[in-house]
Amino acid sequence: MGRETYDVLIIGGGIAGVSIAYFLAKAGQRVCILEKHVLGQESTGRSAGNIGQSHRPPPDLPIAMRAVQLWKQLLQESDLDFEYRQHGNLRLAWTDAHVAKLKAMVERERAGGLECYFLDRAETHALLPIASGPFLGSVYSPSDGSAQPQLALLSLARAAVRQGAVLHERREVTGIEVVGGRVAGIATSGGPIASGVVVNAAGAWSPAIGRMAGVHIPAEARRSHLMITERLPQFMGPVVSTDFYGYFRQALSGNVLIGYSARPVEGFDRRVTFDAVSLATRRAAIIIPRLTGVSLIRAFTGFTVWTPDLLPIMGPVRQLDGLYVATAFCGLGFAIGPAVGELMAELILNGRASLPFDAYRLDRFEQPPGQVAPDLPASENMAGRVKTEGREE
Amino acid sequence: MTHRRVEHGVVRGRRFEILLDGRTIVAYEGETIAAALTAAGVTTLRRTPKQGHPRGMFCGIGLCWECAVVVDGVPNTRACQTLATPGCCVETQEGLGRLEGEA
Repeated sequence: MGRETYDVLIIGGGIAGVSIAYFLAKAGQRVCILEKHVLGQESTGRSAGNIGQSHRPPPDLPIAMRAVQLWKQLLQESDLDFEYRQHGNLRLAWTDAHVAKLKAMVERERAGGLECYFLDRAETHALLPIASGPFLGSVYSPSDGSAQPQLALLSLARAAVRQGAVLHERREVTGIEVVGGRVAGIATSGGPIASGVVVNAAGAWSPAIGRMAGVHIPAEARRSHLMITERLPQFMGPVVSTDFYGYFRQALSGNVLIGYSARPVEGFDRRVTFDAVSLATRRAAIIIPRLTGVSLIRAFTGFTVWTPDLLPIMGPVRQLDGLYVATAFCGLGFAIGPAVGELMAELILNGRASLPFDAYRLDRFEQPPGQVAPDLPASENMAGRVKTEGREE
Repeated sequence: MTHRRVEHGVVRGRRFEILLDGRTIVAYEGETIAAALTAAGVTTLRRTPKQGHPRGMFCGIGLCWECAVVVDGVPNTRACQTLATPGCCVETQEGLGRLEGEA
């Protein structure tokens, strides 16, 4: 009996891995997804499901915009309503300096083809009448939105399996097999599998997978909290994002999701902390005072994976032929998932993708420091946010 | 209708009545609303907002929120976590909760 063999092995059953599998299987490749637990157990299943395109480092914009096109298409083709909606995103601005920064961002992103506007306070109120608090205005991007992440992942996984992809859940990768300087397969808790192409899409565990092949992946897992309220009548409209106050949206089920941004943690600490819940809920109540009397019915955490320059890691691994990586989406992983799948599939099949993502290459971290420094206006905030945590209370 | 309660070897508190959608249900001091309704044979505690499907007590320990009812006008109240009190007014929840400031 021959050894189990595929054209491509994908490590990680989150949105990135499943999406890559879907687009490869659609192109006729024999693919297999290896997931150490079950689909969506980690970051994807714990995501707030926001699908935004704005307020990111410049290389992300075309990819995020492509993802929105694909989300629309995937929903149309899906046998399952995963609640993708383009209900827009409002990013609130708090100070004059913040307003100036966001206006510059609007200019840049409009030049990149994204429909977005700077709204003053009155215009913001017209879109979100329930809002309060000392905001000065907002950036409105109407084509942003959200989906239910578990259902979206399930829909995409079913579509991949219909195209012939094989899914192995509860199958942990224990080693990467190298023969003659190139990938030959992997060792798993359920026996070895052969393939000349392996994609590391293991999210927070991708550095550990990288180490199995002697590849350093400079990515750090951060913990994000999500708090869920009881079901309420629809009152929110767009997703609300803020730099210092977390983000929230109302699901179609009526529950309001209150997100508290990613913070570094030691190890894979999943605890829900007083600190995060109290800050996030107090901040939410500043913006939407009527949430004060609402009950929280659950809170949980998940990991997002970040790099030093706040750009994802996507592409071939230079040191080892046949090994690819798609990870560290810096909080954007769910939103751009379909584009990650499409572009990685193109790269693996044709050696190049229809949208360039050279800025995401792993080997950028091999250059000496000082030469890396890409232009990252939008990301200064995010880096700063981690350092300033707790100060404004 | 109390035949669903264990009769032997159980000391109960005071007997009183609560209201469910206007009808009278017997409850005993120390029972949750879900316990009293279960004893009365009531299994549908709410209906889902979109499809109107019936839902009742599932986990019984406050985690799943399937037993949400309206108690004295307050929606999204878990019947399994709320003690019955004399004359309390319970309604099968047909919709969603509400925000502060709404009628």
